[in-house]
Amino acid sequence: MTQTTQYQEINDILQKNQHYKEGFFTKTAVETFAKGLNESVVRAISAKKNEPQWMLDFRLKAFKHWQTMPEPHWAKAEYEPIDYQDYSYYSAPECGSCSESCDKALDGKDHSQANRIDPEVAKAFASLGVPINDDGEANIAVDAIFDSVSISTTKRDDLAKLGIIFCSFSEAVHDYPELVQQYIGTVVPHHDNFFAALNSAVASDGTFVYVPPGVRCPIDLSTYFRINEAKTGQFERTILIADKGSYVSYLEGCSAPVRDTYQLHAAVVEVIVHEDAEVKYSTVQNWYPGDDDCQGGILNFVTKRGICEGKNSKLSWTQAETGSAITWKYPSCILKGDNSIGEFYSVALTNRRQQADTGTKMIHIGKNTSSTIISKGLSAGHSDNTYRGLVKILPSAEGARNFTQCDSMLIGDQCGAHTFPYIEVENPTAQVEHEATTSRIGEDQLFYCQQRGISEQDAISMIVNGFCKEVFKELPLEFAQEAEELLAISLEGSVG
Amino acid sequence: MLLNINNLKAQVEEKSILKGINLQVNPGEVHAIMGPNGSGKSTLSSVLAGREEYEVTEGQVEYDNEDLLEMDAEERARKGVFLAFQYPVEIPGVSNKLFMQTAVNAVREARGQPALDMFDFEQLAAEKMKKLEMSPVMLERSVNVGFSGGEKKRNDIFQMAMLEPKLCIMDETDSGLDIDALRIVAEGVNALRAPDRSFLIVTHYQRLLDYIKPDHVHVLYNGQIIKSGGFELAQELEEKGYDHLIQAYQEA
Amino acid sequence: MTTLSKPIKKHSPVAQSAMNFYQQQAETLMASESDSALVAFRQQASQHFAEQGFPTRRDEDWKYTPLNAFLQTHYQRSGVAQVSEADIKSFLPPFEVMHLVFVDGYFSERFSDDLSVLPAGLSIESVKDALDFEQGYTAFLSHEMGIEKEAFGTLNSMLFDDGVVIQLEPHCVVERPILCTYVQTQNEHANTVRNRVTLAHGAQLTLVQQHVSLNEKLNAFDNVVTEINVAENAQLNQVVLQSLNPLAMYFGLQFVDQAKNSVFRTHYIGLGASISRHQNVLRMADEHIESEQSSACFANGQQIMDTRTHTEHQAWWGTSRQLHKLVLDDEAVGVFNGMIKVARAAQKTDGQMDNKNLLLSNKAKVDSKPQLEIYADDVKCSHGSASGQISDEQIFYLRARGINADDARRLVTQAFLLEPLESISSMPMRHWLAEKLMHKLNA
Repeated sequence: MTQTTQYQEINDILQKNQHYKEGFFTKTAVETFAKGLNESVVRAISAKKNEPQWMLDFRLKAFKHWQTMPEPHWAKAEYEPIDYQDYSYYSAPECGSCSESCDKALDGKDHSQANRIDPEVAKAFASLGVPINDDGEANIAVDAIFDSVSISTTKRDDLAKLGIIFCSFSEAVHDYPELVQQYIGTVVPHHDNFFAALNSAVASDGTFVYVPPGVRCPIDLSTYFRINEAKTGQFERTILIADKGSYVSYLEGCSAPVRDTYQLHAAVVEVIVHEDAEVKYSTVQNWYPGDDDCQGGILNFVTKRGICEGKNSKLSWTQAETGSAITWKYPSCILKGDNSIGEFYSVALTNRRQQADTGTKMIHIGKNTSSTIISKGLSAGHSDNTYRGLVKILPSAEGARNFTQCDSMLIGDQCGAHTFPYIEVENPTAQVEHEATTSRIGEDQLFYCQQRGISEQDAISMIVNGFCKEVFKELPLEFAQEAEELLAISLEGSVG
Repeated sequence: MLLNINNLKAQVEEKSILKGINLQVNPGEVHAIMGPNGSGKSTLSSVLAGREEYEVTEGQVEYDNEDLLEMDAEERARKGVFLAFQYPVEIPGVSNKLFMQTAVNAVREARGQPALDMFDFEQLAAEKMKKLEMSPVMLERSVNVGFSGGEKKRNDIFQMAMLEPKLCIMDETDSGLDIDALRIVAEGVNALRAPDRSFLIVTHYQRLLDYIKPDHVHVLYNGQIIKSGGFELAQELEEKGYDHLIQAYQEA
Repeated sequence: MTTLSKPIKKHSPVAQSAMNFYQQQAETLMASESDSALVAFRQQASQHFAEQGFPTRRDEDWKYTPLNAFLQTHYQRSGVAQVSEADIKSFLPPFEVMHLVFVDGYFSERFSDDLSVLPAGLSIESVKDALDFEQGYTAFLSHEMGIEKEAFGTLNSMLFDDGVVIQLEPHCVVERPILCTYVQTQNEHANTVRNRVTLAHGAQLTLVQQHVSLNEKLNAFDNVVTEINVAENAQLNQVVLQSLNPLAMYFGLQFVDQAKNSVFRTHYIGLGASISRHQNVLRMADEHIESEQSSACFANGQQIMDTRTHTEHQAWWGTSRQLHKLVLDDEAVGVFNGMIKVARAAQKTDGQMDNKNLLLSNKAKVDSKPQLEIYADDVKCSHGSASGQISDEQIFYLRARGINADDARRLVTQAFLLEPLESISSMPMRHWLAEKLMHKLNA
């Protein structure tokens, strides 16, 4: 039957499963904690980072709570229960750990951070195309995180002139304790969920951003996460605060080497947006998805949540998710301020045996709050791709609006695409609209392209990118390009 | 000779549709294939363009001294076979510009020509659009999405102009068009007529032919060409209808 | 610390006491029964029930439907019904039907039409008779797909005592609709009914089931399970009208099995009950099956109305259509939960599910969960959900044509609520149902 051959061809193309190009491993002298997790490990992490008592207390409180919680399994993803004792909870390049201890000295003005970075680590970031040297050319500020620690943060001085704080989370704990204390755990409490509790206990590093009132951050801020060591968990904690009337665009990229055992990633991101402020938060997630059966890929359990605290504030999440063996991620907006706006734009692509369960929560509390959800799910191979989302309109949210569009595309006949929306409306003046469709790449579309001379592979990638366009246009330009390329690579399986 | 179809037989889902087609097309000629519904007109276009649902069971098709049936769809397109679709497909999110640039460069590469960069491409597109009195806005819109019937056809003509094919197959491109749209298609075809470009116009009605004036007209019935002639044959069909011809054929 | 052992469910004292009560009732019932297969069937259900108990809001499928009010009362099986001929007549629709009457869950020969003069090919008998006289009826009691997952389904298996068995022979087309009227006459009474409807190939039938209360003061509990089998080329049109009084409890579960080329249409009209939940489970296991599930519900006061569908496409070329509308006033809570599941083998499926909700008051609430689970790629599936209030523009348009604001609002609400009825082909039936809806809307 023609149908079968059609699938066969697409499957064949998908099978030419190319090399995960970020899959190299960096050899460097590292200090890695022995596997296992108990209270003394939590204390040791805190001690390693020379943390004040309040931070240790926060960790211990979270750890105690975590021990009482069961691992959640409601997501549409199947995996063996994780043995949390089989992971190491701290790993850092040795030079990096030295920079940790001589933290203060590093902050001196004429010290260039890059000089202190392990050359192997620097090389790793260079080959990932991440600018970690402050050479002034890049119009982007980067915080590079290697396993458990932040390696370098560029452009800090330029940003400091505007009053913008952009540093690693560990530094912020030391240098801006009152800000960290004021905000940590306010959006994602330590007891929020299993993985958030784990993160709160063993948080490795992360990024801290504070944009003062009225400041429009002139360049994009970004963090690049790299998991290097095997059997290491990465538990970064990111806090981003946009004070009144400010604006910032923040980008996040991730990758990891090819491994044959699952690596664990459980991050927490808290975003606080004050009156009239706006935050754009973009993620291109390309964690190692594992081998053909997704063995050894990253288990990505992430809690991202922002609160639009003040009037007229706006928070926009954009994500392109192509990596990880399992993704469990629901970037959310609590729309508390009147007239605040929440947005979620997502492209999630799964191939092989990847499983993605992702979506968002839009909690409308303030008057005339509005939210938009555009989710594009692409399933190929033997993967399962699930959109799960909540739109909740509380009685106080007079005049709230939500529009949700969930589109799924199935590529091949061995994959699944699922849509599980939850809509809760408790105010009659709210208008909530949800639409979902399922489609595939039509044979007639492929033929049309081929009849104009375009190869099947190009046609598939063109149609797929067209399908995702509404989301990609929300990403900053370079990121959009990267996302398109990632999509093409993940799908086509042919290099170049 | 550009196209030489010899005893072509084809079937779809085991149902035989083309039952021995013979047709020769020389460079620069315009041929019209006419016939009642179900005669196999669209199958012929599809087989020539390389649609995979159709299985050729017998016969040869020689195109520019090569075996056309051996090539897959994109190869045919790159060698200059262009199909104007009866129902042009919508491709959401893919702009006409990106689509056409990809296609043009694929075809140019096959011809050994350098790829056009964005500026050269836009310049070329602008020229062609101007000639076809098309609005440049069309270039920014997604391929055929939200286009009216007329716009879709006009878009096909534009693509034809951009790809500069040697053989243009118009698959009932006039179906469902109002008189203005029809004129657009006809004017487009006439503007693109050239000594090294041939046309195969597949249609049910002669009204498109009034504007195009083909050199040869063939009547297809039950998978075979039952009569060939000049433009006057189309006029005869207009006056007397297909039944009269079919009857004569069956009696013969 | 992170083992996945099944947690032992803890029940509140109120729930535990209700559980004990119903289990005791089942014990009493079983003690009076001699059919060992039936007793075994009940025992299994009872065991299941003991394990799972009544759901709480922590159960995903009951998140939005609190049972507190239901658990307060222990509904009895026994009692003496009091109802008159005139009462029953008042429930009849203004069109010809074959009338079957169930009083407090028991088939009433006295009020029902004569079952000995049925159209050829149609057989109707009460479940009680089937149990008493028919060997092997219990073999029919299948373990329907997922019934054990539904607390009220298991409860039904434990306690059902009557119901109706309708069978239609091949190619029999019965024009006159069958109407089953389930009337509640006793306070704090449980009416547990198990129905089975079997259409042989090529047969056609229209089945109407209405749930009514004798008066406004009763607080009674209808628990209905209907098992439906539609064979090849057969067609069943079904209407369920739930117009109990505002104190009643209604839990309805329907399991529908469809064969090749069959058609099943069902309309649910929800008006009454304090807590109501109507649920369809459809299995479309062969090619070219068509189904339609629609509902129109109007809840006010503190009513909780829950409508849910589970539609499984398992083979090629299936078509399913759904339109569910809820209008909510006062402090009413509306719930819609729909799932379209498309198996890998169900290519060319065309599934559409629409849910539209209108909130008329500040304290009304609606929770909607339209879901898709899709494993086949060449399918057309979509769902939509929209919630909001009446558009001011529509009202303004009507006012600009001279209609006063109240009338305009009523007209628009009416039009909104009646839309799902448009696919009912019988005009008298449609009018009858529309009148019921409008009566409540305009009260």
